Amino acid sequence: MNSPHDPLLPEADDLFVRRTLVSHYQPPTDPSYWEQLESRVMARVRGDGSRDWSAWLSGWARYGLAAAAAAVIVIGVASWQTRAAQERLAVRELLDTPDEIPLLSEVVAPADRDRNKTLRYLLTH
Amino acid sequence: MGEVVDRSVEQGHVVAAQRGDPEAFACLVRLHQRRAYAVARAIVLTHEDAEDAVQEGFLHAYRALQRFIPDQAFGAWLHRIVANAALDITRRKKVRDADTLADTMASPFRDPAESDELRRRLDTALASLGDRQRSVIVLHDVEGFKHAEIGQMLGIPEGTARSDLHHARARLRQALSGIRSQL
Repeated sequence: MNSPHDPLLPEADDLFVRRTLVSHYQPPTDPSYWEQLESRVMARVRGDGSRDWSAWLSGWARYGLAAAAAAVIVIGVASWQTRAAQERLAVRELLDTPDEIPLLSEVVAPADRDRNKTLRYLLTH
Repeated sequence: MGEVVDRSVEQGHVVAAQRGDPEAFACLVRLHQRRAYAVARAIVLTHEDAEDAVQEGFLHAYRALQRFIPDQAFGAWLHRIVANAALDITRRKKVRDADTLADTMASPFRDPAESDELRRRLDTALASLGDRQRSVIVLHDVEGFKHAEIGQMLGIPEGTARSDLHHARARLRQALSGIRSQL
């Protein structure tokens, strides 16, 4: 941990490293340099056409747009749910229809009735 | 180095810039460009790359300004954007010219008082550090950022920033140990 150079004073070594780094990374001191950098930054900013589209909307317009989008989603979900409920109801109605199949009853036509009478008479006499 | 920025004035500029006033954004550039340069310079290897990172960073910030909440600290938000721009440049450079590290380390804007031997030793020592360790020690020791702030900027946990600082310091201390007595 401590350097062999100054084992009793590691803080002094750290201070030296820090000072060396500060000197090494010293930013430009000329004010004109910063003015030019600002001009270059602003030239790029002013020439930029791809700003976030939402930047052109004011705060209220953004809230309005968000509310409208939320309303569309709510209406869509409600509509979907209504349709699904209607379909379920229709299927249930179809399945719940009572079996009203008419019972077969013997229907004897009048002509058959006379014939039967004749046959009964002949058989009994 | 660090400029004292009046928060209410800054907030006013932010709100005006969000409404589309370019002059207000210019004021923000004026207030923050030195610190932004320092952040970028800690991450990239050359002054030129730091300039590019600053310009890219401000441009990204301008594009994303509507998403910034004025109650927050604009500087911290901007520094993260600039740091990302600088990291992108470092990654692109690494892919493009990985073998020209020694040349790129010799960048302009050096203190004339810095001796050639010290400069050479420091360049070698800095080159021997990983990108992240170098960024952490410069952001901490030169720019005075806290571990947590550095972690946020570089996208690493605070503990990692602390550990990187420790190792970077040990490496530089060792690399520069013999030269201190000669100066």
